[in-house]
Amino acid sequence: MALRLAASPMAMSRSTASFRLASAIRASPSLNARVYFHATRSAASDASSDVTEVYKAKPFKIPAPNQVHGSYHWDFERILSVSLIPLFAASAFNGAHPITDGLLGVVVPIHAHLGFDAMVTDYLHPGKVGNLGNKLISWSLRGATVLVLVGCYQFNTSDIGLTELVKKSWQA
Amino acid sequence: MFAPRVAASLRTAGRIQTAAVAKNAFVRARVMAPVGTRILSTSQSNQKELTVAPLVEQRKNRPTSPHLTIYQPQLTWYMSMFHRATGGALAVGLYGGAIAYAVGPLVGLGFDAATITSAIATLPVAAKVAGKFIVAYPFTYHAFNGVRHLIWDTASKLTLKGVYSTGYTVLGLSTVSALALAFI
Repeated sequence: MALRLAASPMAMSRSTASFRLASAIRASPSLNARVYFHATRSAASDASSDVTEVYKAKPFKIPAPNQVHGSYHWDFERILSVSLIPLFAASAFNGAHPITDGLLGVVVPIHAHLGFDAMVTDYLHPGKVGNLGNKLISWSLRGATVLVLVGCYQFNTSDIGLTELVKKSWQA
Repeated sequence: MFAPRVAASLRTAGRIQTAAVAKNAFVRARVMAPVGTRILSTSQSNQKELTVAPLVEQRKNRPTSPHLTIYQPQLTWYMSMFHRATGGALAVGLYGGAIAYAVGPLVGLGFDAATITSAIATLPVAAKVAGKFIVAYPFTYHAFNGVRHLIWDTASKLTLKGVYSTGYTVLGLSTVSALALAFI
């Protein structure tokens, strides 16, 4: 049977609050609790029922490789970015046209969404805002992008269109 | 472990220090109780409070090492930073405008092309030119630097010389085109 060791106080710094707390718990005769710090999952599972586990180490699961989130995502991003060059050029030289306006109203919001998604991955990752926070933010971003797509479509159909807006605002 | 006298003094010292540290009333009650009294044993959630919660609180107060403030300013990361910043700013403008147009009728916000253009027309000429430059510069910078990124994606210009020469080209082109757009 494996020997179960409690964490040695000598191994930890003597001045941390957690050490003082842990030693207070250990030293207190009236507190029926044991402080264990397990390094391995098997040690944690060996624990008998009278010891309450307070800190379980969960092994990190590497996500399965998926081309949709990997190289396909990269390809899609670059194709969109490249297509923006002739799109803006056509819109600048030909003026308003339903096809260029419609395409702009789809490609530019998706391009912006991909950029925002990269920023969320970099700065608002689960390690920083928690799993729930990251999921909330990601889904809010998707909702906002859908709203933007709807707004651009409405503007292109029931108003003057994106290119005309820029032209009129520039010449106002 | 330790000698009984040392253990007793450690116990009192630990108890006083721990009581000072423990903001939790539950912990204070347990730790400041007289020696020898029997208190109900703790449940798992309370033990988690006692041992893990203080560690989590400590992590929130720890400072992070300086990074952006101490790294030598270089064209490479400054331009990368501005590429992301200009992209984000333009996207915020697009999202704000499009969402305002989409939900405007629902909240009574008079937001359409006519009101925007007439509002712009009321501004003085200097404000209009300045405004156009402020809108055009992020756009031209992001566009030309985007082309630079696409050039890198073809595995070209990925040398120090290439990065710096394309970088200065982007800076020059974006400034000139933004000025040109501002005065149209």
